[in-house]
Amino acid sequence: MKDLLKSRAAGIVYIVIAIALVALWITYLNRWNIALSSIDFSPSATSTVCEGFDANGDHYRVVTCHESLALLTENGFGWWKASLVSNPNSQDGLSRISWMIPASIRYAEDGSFAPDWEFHDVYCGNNAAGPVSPITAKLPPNVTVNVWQSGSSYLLHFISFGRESPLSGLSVGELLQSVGAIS
Amino acid sequence: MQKKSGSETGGQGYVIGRVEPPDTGVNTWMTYRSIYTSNGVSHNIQRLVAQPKLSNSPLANTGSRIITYGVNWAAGTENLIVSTAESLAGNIPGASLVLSVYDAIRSFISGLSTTTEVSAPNITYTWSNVTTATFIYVRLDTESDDAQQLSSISTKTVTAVGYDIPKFNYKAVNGSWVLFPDIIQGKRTIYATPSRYANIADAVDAYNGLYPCPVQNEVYNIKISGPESKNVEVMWPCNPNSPLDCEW
Repeated sequence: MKDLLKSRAAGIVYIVIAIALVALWITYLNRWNIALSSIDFSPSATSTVCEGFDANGDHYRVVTCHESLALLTENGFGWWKASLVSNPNSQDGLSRISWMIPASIRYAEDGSFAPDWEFHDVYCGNNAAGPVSPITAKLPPNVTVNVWQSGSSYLLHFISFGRESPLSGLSVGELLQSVGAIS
Repeated sequence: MQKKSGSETGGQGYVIGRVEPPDTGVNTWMTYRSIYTSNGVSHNIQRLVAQPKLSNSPLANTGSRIITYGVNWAAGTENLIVSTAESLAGNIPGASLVLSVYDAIRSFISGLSTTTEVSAPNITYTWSNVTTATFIYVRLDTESDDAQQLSSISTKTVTAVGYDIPKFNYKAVNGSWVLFPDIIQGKRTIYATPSRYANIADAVDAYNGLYPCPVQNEVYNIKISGPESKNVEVMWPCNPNSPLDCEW
C-alpha cells in the first residue's frame, strides 16, 4: 500500500514537472508577444522600426504600435524587456525615442583620438495635416531620415554620425509645423 | 612577436629580446627608439605603444545603461555626470568631471535657472572607452637587444560618455510643467592620464633597481555616476602585464 502511494506521488510530481516545462516552453516561444503585451502593445498591431545591437552587444528592437514607441532589449536567455516606452505628448502629439551607439574611433594626425557616435531619434504621431516629407529640406547637414506616412499617421527615423548630435535641442515638432505637416 | 630569452634577472622581471609589435589585427602598434643618459650612462630605450582599432580589442570598451528617476530636482543641485578615475597611486586629478543638469540643458532652454524644478524619467548613458598602453624596454646602449628588459608599463584612457534624455520636463515661471519639445543629447570626454605615464626616467630607474621592475602606472578604474549619485558604471580598463595582454 505504501509503495503504491509512493509511486502515485512520484507520478504526480513528474506530471507537474512536465506541465511546468511545457508551460515554460510555450511562454518562451511567445516571449516577444508577452513583452509587447506587458507594455500594452498589441502584437498584431506592432511593427518593427529598427533593430540592431546596442553598446552592450545586446540585441534591441524599436517598435511602434498605433502612435506609441518602445525600445526592447533581449537578454542573454532570449527574454525581451522594454527599456523605454513613449506615448504621444499633449503638446505636439509626438512620441519620441532616442538612443546612441559608439560607432568608431576617430584618430587625428597629431595622435589624438575620440569615439564617434551613431545617433538615432524616432518620432511618430497621428496628427499630420499634410505630407511630412518636406521636413527633409529643413534638416541640418549630416542627418538622414526615413519617412513613413499613411494619411495622418507618420513616423520619422533620424540617423546621424559624429561627435555631437546635429538634432539635439532641435524641435522636430516645430519643424513639422513650419512645413505645414502638423497644425 | 616578442622573444624571451627565458632567464630571470634578480627579481627584476624577465630579460626580453628585441621586441616586435604583435599583429593580431585588433590594435595599432607603434614602436620608437631613443637614447636616455642617466648618471653618465647611456640607455637604449624602446617604447611600444598600442591603441585599439577594432571594438573587440581588450583596449576598447563600450556599453550603455538606462537609469530611471522618480523625483524632481532643482536644475543646479543635481549632476548629470560625475566622473573620477584612479590609478594604483590614487585619484587621477585630470579625470574628475562634474556636469550639472543645469549646465547640460541651459543652452537648450531659455529662462532656466539653477533653482528651476526639472524632471527626467529616464536618462540613457552610453560610453566608449579607449586605452593606450605603453611598454618601455631598457638596455644599456653598449648591450645587444637580447639584454632588453621590460621596465615600465603604463596606460592612459579616453572615455566619451554620451547622455540621452528623451523626455525632459521643467516648471515654467508661471508654475506649470512644460515638456521640452525635443530630445537632449550630449557627451563629455574624460581624459585619465596617470602623472607618471610613459615616463622614461622612471623606466630607467626601475631598470637600475630603484623601483620594482617593471614600474606600473596604469588607469585602474573609471567611475561614472548620475543624478542622485546613482551609479552609472565602473569601468575597469585593460591593465596589461605584457603586450600580448592587449591582444586578447
